[in-house]
Formats: sequence, structure tokens, C-alpha cells
Amino acid sequence: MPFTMRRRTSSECTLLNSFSRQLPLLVSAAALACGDPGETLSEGQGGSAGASGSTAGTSGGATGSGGGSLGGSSSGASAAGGSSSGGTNAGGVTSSGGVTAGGTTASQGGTPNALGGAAASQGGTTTSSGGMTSGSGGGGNPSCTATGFYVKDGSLYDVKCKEFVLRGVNYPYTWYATRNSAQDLAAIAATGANAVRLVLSSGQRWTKTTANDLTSLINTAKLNKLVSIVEVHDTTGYSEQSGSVALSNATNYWKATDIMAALMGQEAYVILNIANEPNGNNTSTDWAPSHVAAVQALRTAGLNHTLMVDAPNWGQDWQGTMRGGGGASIWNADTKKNLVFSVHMYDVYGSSSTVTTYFNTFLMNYEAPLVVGEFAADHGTAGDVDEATIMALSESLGVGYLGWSWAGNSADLATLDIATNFNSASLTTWGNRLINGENGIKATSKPCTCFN
Amino acid sequence: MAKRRILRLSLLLALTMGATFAGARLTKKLATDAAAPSASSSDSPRFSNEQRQAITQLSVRLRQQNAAVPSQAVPGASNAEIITYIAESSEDPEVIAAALSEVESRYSSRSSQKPLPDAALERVLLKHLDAPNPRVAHAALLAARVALMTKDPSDALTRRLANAAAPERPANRRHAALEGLSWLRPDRRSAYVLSALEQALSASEPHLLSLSLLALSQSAPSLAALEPSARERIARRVLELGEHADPGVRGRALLVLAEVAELVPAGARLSTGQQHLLDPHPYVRAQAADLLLRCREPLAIHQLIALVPDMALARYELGGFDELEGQPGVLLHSVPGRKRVAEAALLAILSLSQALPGVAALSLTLGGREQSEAQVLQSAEIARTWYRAEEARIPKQSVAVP
Repeated sequence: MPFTMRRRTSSECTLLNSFSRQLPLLVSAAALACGDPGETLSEGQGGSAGASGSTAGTSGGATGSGGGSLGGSSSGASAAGGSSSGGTNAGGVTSSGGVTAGGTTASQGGTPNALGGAAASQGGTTTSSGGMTSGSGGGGNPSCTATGFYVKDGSLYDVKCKEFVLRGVNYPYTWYATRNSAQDLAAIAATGANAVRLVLSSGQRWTKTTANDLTSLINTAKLNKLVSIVEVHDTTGYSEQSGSVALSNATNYWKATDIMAALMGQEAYVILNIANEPNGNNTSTDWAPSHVAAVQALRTAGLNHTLMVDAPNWGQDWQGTMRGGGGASIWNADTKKNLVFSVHMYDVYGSSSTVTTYFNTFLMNYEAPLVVGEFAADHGTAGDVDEATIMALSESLGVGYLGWSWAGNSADLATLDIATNFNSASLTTWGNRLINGENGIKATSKPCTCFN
Repeated sequence: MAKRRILRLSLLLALTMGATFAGARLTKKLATDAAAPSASSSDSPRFSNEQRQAITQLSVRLRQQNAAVPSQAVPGASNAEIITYIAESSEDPEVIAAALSEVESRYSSRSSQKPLPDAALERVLLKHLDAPNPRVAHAALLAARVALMTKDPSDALTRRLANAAAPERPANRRHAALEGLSWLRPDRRSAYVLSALEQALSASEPHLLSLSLLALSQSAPSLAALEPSARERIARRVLELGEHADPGVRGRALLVLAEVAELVPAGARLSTGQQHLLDPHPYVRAQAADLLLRCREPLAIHQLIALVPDMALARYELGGFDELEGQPGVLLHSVPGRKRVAEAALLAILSLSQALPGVAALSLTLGGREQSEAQVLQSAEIARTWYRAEEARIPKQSVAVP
């Protein structure tokens, strides 16, 4: 993709925005030039005004979405009704009310091409029961009764019944527990990420992450408007890697009374990634049966969170077990049907065709969503990763991605660090690609409306 | 730099100031126009004259920034219709290509966060896919991916690509079309798509053969629905191509057999894999090991064990052709996750051994990070030791395992 528009500098944006309040057409130009995903031409943002009957909001106040503008009209027409956040959108830039985007989109809500409209209307009838057991506001969508993340039609939805696409990074908490994680999570949030995958330990290989630690991490992430994906890393590569432990150890960690207490009530903000890469190559045939047992155990224990299941073969699924439908028994074992699958894309995914085939085949075979739970631009000397295709297809298919990892990788995998020495002001080549590059976090991340 | 910023800002202001005379009138008219259906592909009534004027100016800006700004993300899910309109209405190839390059980030194949590809986008893609300007045609092809990867891809678009893959078309156009067809979901490849892929199996150019075989390897559900006679023709041709002079073609033929289990009888599949374990090219040997893994016949372990010390890199680059825009093309052939032939053989043995009752478990240390040659040789030794102990219990006759 050789073309792009340059983002405006803040001073240019300030000037444009000051004009835009008076000149409707300038709104689109300002949004085009200054916007982030929530800002640009405010596609669909005002749409829920029609669905919910609420008026468009004014949060952020940077620009209006300009129903009278080029962008406001066209995007509103195609995506009207899509937003369930109504006038309280989180983009930081909203319309000047129903007169512009709200009014335009409301009048055109229900355009057949507007998938968003479907999502909004389906909010109250989702098949996933994990987060849908009792009513809550829904933020402008009166039919939304979610109490946490849930899954519908192959996508993940948040507590406000808005589709949520993960865009974030992995944070190596357990190996750097003495660091100021609050500072690190704030830096991660500042990249525009909407989620962070937290590396934890059940205590078998590293120092156990305590319930207090977990509570603190979740709360810090929430303060920074980051959805937490929590995972136990001790299982990595079982049984090839020395010291790695079986999946049941991770299940037992989550079921412990104190850990359960830290997780309960956080269903709107936390996704539970049962275990990191718990099946190497030797145990890949045990992947489905062991996860069936894990899912049943966690549900029986009373954990209703969205569960995330890592693929076999060190998460890379090179044998195609998961992508080919081998996880159907895991999905079927989940009484809540509130589960996402996660593939880790490294050197197995060094070409566009491998990545494309993976996405296409998985999406053909599952009702559950797919997430790229780890990936990078290379895997050290093991080989290149086609991160451009991963990011482009993730974006066009609504698949979540989480880059590995914020910092602290060993020397042989130092190219996988996103920030040099945890310093967000010094992004590595990979970090710059992930955050600022095409289809990167800055360009594509949308905040979870669970924080609205 | 500062001067450039000022110029850009001036352009923005000119764009918006010029069109703002229409003011609130535009706001109302826009809503009306946007809701109206298109009268024809060449004359979209959705925009007023004033708006079209503004869009034209926006196009100018697109063109200028295209030249000035390095490739980087354009934020957000927005304004798909504007981008599509510019791609449709502009006569400037640079502007068209720039607008088309924005399409993939403006639409989504399945997410509710962006609009789905629609009739307007289909019209634009159909218009430009065959453009004489290769830059425009290439941009249209890339833009088509978001439309082709939907659950229900446009039939018109798919047919256009199938036609573009026909033998009478230039090789670089056929190559592009085959690439486009490979983006369709495995279960969304109609008979005419498979027919186009089959036709390409008769091409004289190895890269077209390889690409077509790759696409067929991803077409199992669609091939299963194909009429038996057509499927048998394809199967025969795939087996023939297993003997092609180019290792990329031979390997990809094995890939088809690996991925499409029912294409040929189990016996033919197994014997083809066994035969190619002796192929002179390491990529083909590794692909044969993968085929034997997929055959689920433990008897293959008796042949695979001979390859565990084979440290040759399982990689082949097929070049010697030009891509759509004229630059030299290279097709990389590899077996994902298995860098050396030995790794392909070891992992095949490991996988087949896991399903063998009464045989001691084989436990290797392959996986995760890159393995050094010494580590692979260590695993090879573990495998050989295990094989010597268990050889008598490993079937020598066909016994398919799950």
C-alpha cells in the first residue's frame, strides 16, 4: 500500500477544529486529517442515535462528525444504526448532535449494508450466555442485557453489546513483577491499545501471581481503559519445554478461591486465557480433550468470563488441528458458548498465503471468534513473519491481535521487543510497525465501550 | 517541512472554504442524496454538484499526498463511500490507485465496525480490475481482497477474476487473477472458479501451475461438491504435476494431496508421498513428509526414519516471471513450521507415533523456538533410538490411524 494521508500536527488540528465548529464541511477535512478510528468522519458513530433514541453526545469535543460533511453523509448512510453507544461514543470526537451526524444517520438507520445495525439489534438476543445473564444499561442500546463480554456470530461483544476487536500487546508481568506495572500499563494505553495480555504464573515455573497482584493489575488496566487478557504461562510448550506443566495446573490456579474472588465481577473487563501454549508438539493430540476438561471445570466453578483457548503446536497450529475444526468439542463443551480461540503467529506464518489460508479456514469452521494472541514481525533467526498480512486481514476481518511483547525478551528474541527497555518513547522497529504502521494499533484500535 | 505543512493546511482550508458556501443546504441535501439509489454506474446522484467539486479537490489532495507521504496507516473506519466514489469517478490513474489502496481499510469483510463491501465497491472493482494501467489494476486486485473474503463474495467479481485467469490472457494478468481467486473462502469456490484453476493446471509457466495448485490445496470443501468427473480430471492432472520438472510444482502437487484428502484414493496418496521422499529437491522431500503425516499411515515411519538426519533446508524460490506491475516475481515454497527436511520427517514420525497403540511414546524436543542443527540431530538420534526399540511393533501394512 504505497499511499497514505499524513496525520495533522496538533496545532493544525486545533486550527482545523476551531473552524470546523462553524463550517460544517470543514469537519470532514479536520476528521480526515486529524482523526483516529473514533474520529475520522465518524462513520456510524451517530447511528445509534436512531436506534436508541438518544441524542448524539459531545464527549471529547474535538470535532463534529458532520452529518453535513462529505464523510458524515456517506458513512452514516452505510453504517447507520451500527453504534449502540449512541451519543456517548468514546472516540473523543463526536458530532454536534442530531442536527448533523446524529440526525442524518438516524434518518437512514437500517441501511441494508449496515452490519453495525444488525449488531445493535442483535445485542439482546446473542447466543452467548456468559455475559448475558442479567440486564444492564447497554449504553444507548436499551435491548442490551449483557453483564460481560460475550460471543455472537464469530465476533466478540462487550458489556454494552458493541463489537469489540482486541488491539493490544502482551505484557510480561510475571518476569518483571518488580517493575512499576502501573507506569507500564499507562504507557501501553498511550499507544492507543485497547487491551493488554498479562503474562501471569501459577507458581510452578515462576513466582506465583497472587490474588492481590491480579486485582491490582486488573484495576490498573481498567484505570487505563485496557481490557485485560490474563493467562498462565507455566504451561508453555508442555511437554517439550523443561519445567512446563500440564494445562490442569492452570485450571487449578483459576479455580483457587482467592483467584476466583479476584476475577468474579470483572467479566466486563477481563478475558480469561486459560493457559499459554499448553500443548507443544508431543502433546498436540491432547489439545482438545484437555481443554474440554478445563472449560468444563472453569464453568462448573462458576467463572462466566469469556475464555480464550490457545492453539496446539506451541500456539502456532502448524498441523491445522485448530483451524480445521478440531476445537469444535471445546466449543461444544462450553455451556456459555462464550469462548474465543487464539493462534500465535510466528515463523509458521511467513507468507501471505499461509496467513490468508489460516483465517479463511478458521472462519469457515467456527462460530467462535479468532484472535491472534501473539505475533511479531519475526521470530528471531527462526524466520520472518508476514505481519503485514496478519494486520491487514485482522483489520478487514474484525479479528483481534496482540503483539508480542512490550519488552524484556531474551537476547535471541530481542527483535520481538516493542519498546526498548520498557521505554515507550523508544519504540523498536517492530514496535513502531505494530503501533504506528499500516493497520497498526493507532490506526485501528477502538476503545472498549465497557469503560464508557 | 514546515512549508509543506502550511501548503497542506492551505489545501485543506481551500477545500473546505470553497465548498462551505453551500453551508447548511448541503447538510440537508446530503441526507437526501445519500439515501437515493444510484441511477447508473457512471452517474452517481448521491452527491450534489458542490459536493462533487469538493470531492474533486479532495482527490487532488489525495494525489499530492500520495506523492509526499510514505506508506503508513490512514486512521479509521470511515468514509468508505467517498473513497469508492473517488476511485470510480476520477480519471487520474494516480488518484484511482490511491483511492483503491484505501479500500481495504475502509470496509470490512465481516466486522460490524465497518461497512461490508457493497454494490458501489463491486462496481468500482469491476471497472478497474482489467484496467490497462497496471498500477490501477494491481490496486484494484488488492482492494478486491476485502470483498472476496466475505462469507458471500460477489459473483460478478469472482467471475471477472475467473475470466481473467483464462489461458488467452497475459501471464501476469493470469497470475494476479489466480492470486485473487485464492482469497475466496475454501467453501466459496464455485464450479467456474475450480474450472479456472483447472485450466491453469495446463499452463506452461511453472509459477502459474504453482499458484493454481496452491489455490486448489485450499479448496477442499468446494472440490468435494464438484461433480465427480471434473474432480477426477483435476486429480489426474495433480498427480501428473507431481512429476513436473520444477520442484515448486512438484511440491505444490503434493500439498494438494495433503490438504484434499479425498481427491485421490488413499493408496495413490500414500505411494505418491513415499515416492517423493527420494526427490532430489529438499522442499519436495519435506512436502512429501508432510503428505505422509496427513495420510495417517504409521507404516510410513519405516521410510521417514531415513530422512531424520537430512539437514537440507526445505525451501525453494520460484522466479523468472514478472508480476502485474512489471517487477520480477518470486514465489516462496516452504513447509510452514519445518525449516529442514529432518524436522519435517521428525514431526511426521512424532505425529504418526502418537496414534499407535502398544508402542512406547516418542518424545522429541522440537518446537517453540528455532532449533539449531545440533538440536535437530539430537532429536534425530532420539527418534532413531525409539525406532530401533519399536520397529517390530510399527505396522508394515496399511492401518490408517486417526
